[in-house]
Amino acid sequence: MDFFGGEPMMNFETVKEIIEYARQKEKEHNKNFRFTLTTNGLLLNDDNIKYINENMHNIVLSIDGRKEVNDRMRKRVDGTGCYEDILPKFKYVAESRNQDNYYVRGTFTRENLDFSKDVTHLADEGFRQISVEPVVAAKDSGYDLREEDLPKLFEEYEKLAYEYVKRSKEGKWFNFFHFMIDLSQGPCIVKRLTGCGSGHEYLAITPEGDIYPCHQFVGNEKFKMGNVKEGVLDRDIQSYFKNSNVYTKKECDSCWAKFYCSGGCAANSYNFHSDINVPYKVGCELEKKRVECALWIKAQEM
Amino acid sequence: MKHIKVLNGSTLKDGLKKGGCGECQTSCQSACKTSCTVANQSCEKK
Repeated sequence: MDFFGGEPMMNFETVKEIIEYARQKEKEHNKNFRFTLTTNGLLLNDDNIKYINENMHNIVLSIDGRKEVNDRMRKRVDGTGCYEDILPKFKYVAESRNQDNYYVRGTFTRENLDFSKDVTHLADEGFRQISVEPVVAAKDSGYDLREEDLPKLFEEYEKLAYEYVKRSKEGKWFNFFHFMIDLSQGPCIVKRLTGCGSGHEYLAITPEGDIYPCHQFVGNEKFKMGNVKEGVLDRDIQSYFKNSNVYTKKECDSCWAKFYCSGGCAANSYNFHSDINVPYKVGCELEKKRVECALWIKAQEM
Repeated sequence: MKHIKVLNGSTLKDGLKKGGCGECQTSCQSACKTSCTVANQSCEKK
């Protein structure tokens, strides 16, 4: 169960109540709930960090990298950027969790195609668990990554892979989420076929209680699956997602990376093709490059 | 001389026997909010 936004810290009492309730239910049903929280950091303080460290399996700290990159996107109501405020708090959280079970996480867009600099910036600031991901944005929104951006982005992933290996050898290792790959005993074949599980293994619930296949679909009425207060779930939408896998996507057929990527992001596919079974080409190309870099890193580590 | 060194063997067929329980964490719980990443997830049964 992942609490994310909006900003979950704005309603932290509800987060605590949900956790308390879930802890009761997991005993009754022999389940294991794993809680995670994603925050922009502005409301973090000693008290809630303590609670988070005691209760959250993982915490995702939103920061895009360099100050100018972060502050262009992450602004307060008064328009000022939040970088200076959040950086010391995030450093404190990272250390309080012994540099494990957390991520500093950013999004790169068309406005910072040189995102490898944002990753190394975060590493230079002392963070060891880093994730910087491509944006999911509507076509022609201005932020969306385009085919013509691919050569530059490939170059950035390669630069980052070199830097990753170089720093590892120098004892200055950092973890980059998208270069992690488990070749020995990772996810099972079923997981590899169906991907993230949006709409059937995974749902997003809005503050109003509306249910969607994932957070990327929130607000699109066509994909509203119900409301927690009604107790019914649209099984047709669930089936639509459940039946989508690497074998229902023509483009995946001939792709060498299909069992690593598992068919890509349904929301991306829908945003660009109005069909969750038609992969978003830019996403595919970036994923293949990431897997290629991850495999190269494995070989370097031998 | 061997030119190919096997780093990891295949495990996918094993997954067919016991896989698909759906108990593993979702991508969004790690650090994947905008790009589906599966290959680095661990199996809950492991």
